[in-house]
Amino acid sequence: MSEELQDLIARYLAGTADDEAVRRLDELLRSDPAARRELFLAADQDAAVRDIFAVEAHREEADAHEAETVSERSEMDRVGPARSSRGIGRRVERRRRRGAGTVWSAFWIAAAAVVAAVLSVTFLLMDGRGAQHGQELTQQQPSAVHPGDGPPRTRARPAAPPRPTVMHRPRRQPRPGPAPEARNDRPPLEYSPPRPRRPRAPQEAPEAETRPQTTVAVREPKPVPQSAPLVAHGPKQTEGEAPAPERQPAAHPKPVAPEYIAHLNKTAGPVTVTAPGGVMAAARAMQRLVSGHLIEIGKEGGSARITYPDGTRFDLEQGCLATITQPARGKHLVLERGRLLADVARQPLYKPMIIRTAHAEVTVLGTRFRLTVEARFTHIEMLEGEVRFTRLKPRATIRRLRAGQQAYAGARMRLAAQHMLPRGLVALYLFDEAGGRTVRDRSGLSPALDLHIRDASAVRWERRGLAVRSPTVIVTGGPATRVIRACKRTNEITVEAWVQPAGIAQARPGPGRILTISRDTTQRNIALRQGKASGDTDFYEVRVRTTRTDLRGRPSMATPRGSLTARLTHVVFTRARDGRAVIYVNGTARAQAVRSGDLSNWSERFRLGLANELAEDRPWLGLYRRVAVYSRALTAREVQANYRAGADSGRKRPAGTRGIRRDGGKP
Amino acid sequence: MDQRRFLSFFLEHQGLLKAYVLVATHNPSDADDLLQEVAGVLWEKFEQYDAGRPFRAWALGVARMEVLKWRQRRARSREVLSEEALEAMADTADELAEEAAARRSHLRTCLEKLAERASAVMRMRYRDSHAIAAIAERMKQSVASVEMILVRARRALRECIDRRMVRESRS
Repeated sequence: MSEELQDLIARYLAGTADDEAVRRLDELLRSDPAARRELFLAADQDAAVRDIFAVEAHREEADAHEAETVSERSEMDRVGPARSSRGIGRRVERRRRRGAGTVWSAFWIAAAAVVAAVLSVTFLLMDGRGAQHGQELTQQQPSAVHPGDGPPRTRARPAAPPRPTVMHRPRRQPRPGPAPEARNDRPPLEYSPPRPRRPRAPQEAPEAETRPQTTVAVREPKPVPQSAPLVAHGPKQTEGEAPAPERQPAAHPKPVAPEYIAHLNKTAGPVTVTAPGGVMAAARAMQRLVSGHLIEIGKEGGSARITYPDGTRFDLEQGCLATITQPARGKHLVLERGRLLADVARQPLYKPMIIRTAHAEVTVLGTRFRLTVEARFTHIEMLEGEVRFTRLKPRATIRRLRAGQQAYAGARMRLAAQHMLPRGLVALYLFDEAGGRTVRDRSGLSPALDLHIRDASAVRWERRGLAVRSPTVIVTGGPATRVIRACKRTNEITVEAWVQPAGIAQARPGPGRILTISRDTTQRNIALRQGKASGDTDFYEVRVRTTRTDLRGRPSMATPRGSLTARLTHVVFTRARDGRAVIYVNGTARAQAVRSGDLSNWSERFRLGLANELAEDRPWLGLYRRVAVYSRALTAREVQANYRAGADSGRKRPAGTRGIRRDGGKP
Repeated sequence: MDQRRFLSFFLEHQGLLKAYVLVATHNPSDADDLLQEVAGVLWEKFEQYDAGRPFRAWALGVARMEVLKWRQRRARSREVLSEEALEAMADTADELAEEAAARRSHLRTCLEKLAERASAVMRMRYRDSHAIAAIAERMKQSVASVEMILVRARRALRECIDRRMVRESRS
């Protein structure tokens, strides 16, 4: 970047550029793409720095407010109502009134408890299943009469509290057509009107220092103090403009902080939490969550765990967008997108956990499963127990989806319980995402080895599969450690691919990588390639590293010339523990060799990539329909069965599954 | 669901839109105001959004129109970039969206690595929105030296991000 351009951009973004400088910059921008790139990246960096500092400022303000609240409470306890200030006296008076109400509440609680006890005895006498019912009723009784266990909508909320936000939700406009799904426990999302920034109270910093270390109080959503900073980027207050009138705290009742229902912990990477009022902030360790909190995991990587007091856990993976709510009965979670692993503790019979997506509803009483929400469907994979799985449109239910089964809910998809994936599968890509830059790992194993398309413009999502049309690489975000370790443990591997090469002659330099687990062209664990570097490309070649080969996996083994065509092809490489290696093409063994040694020298730091090496110097062009990696050598019979099952066998019963009954439910 | 869908889309691309409007306005406050206008228009027109197309391109198209409207309002009062340059910048924003997102993911780490004095100046400038003259007065330095600190800090950030991007692509 030239000095002149650098200087122009710095002055332009600092707002100190004069007319002449702007004109010169304009000229450069019109003629020079590099100048446009420099300006955009500089502006983006500036904007992002401002955002980071704004979030930091917001956190400090929240801490200061919390310290202030704690300080007020302790002062009230120490001084007492008679000597306290007027505001404190009012609060104490309200507490007294609440105390009077508590006597009546206690009376009604006692009465309800007696009625519940009589009813339970009656049920026990009438019904032989006494033990089970008795247990359920005993579990529910305390919560049924607990004074704090009402629907969240009955709780007081602050009337339109100011939001110390750094990011704004857009204004809600009345829209034609049916109203969106009503949600009583969450106020409508609003577009924050711009407000002027107010100066911080000078005593805030010292008060923040007095904050007790033990306080892990709910900070969101909480009543925000009137002195809290408002929008971080509101419009400038012009000279002579009257300042916004101060709100009188006495005009609003003291809001009651909503009860927290879960914690957010084990966060990694970019995780944000949006409070019901619209405040969005980065997640904090052990953050308390209340009904209406929206959690978003960054798409570039990240994870978080929601933990309920009863031990129920949701592990949210990258790209997740989820809202937790707690209506009167049971726990609810809305999963907008992404994937989660649910480990749900046993729930009371009449208070199930319900997870809702755009396409389906899962009713759970206690089990483990994985749920994935894509734009067009929801996919559930049962790991333990059973759930009730309901497709919303058109409505249909699988009453009992059991361990080892999976189901999809989406438009034009048949709702049926299907069998899960075969033994030894460690990575599976079905290329059915139909869009986006991520190819999901469908193996159901954790951590998922999703693939990221480095250049989205180089590929095209087909109705069935992903076509790589120009050189790019589709690669895991990190090392494929899980796959590598699994193969090292067994000393076996199978690589299976349904692919359609773009042509027999591929782009140079070759040979193109259909699949590789490698660092570069000189170090690899395994690679399935098309042809050789110098020569023909109408055959498949595999290099696999063992303790008897070099670091590149030489000597390689290849199918006969002419065995590769531009048609959809099922190609499988297997290497067994005893060293026998076979390449199958369309179910037929086309090359056999012995690759003795073992896989103990495999590097665990290599990524799994498709269509190229990481450095993008070995491109392969063609269509991917299905790719799978197993940590065992499939038998010839299994390979033939998978070939017969076809490229869409991810939703059919693959070879290797046994003893799982079909249970189609009611479509 | 529409609200949440919109929010998830918008928040994902908010950084990109913000950078684009900042390029047009070269004033953070104006950029925030304009971004809010863009967000309002996007929400109003969200019904017209074809889910089969990328949201980013659609949102940038709307932002481009709003920026041009803003330009018409401001063109008389101060020097602004030409329509041609702004159009080209919108295309550039679309092209660089992925790279910019990747760069943003490294920014926080690089900010932490800034020298103490540069970090303090950045905070006063970007967080507290102090004028450069005010910062200079507080730090008992000349305006030119504060400007130079800011320029070097931005450059250091950029180089740090470049290094991390290269390292990431090699690993």
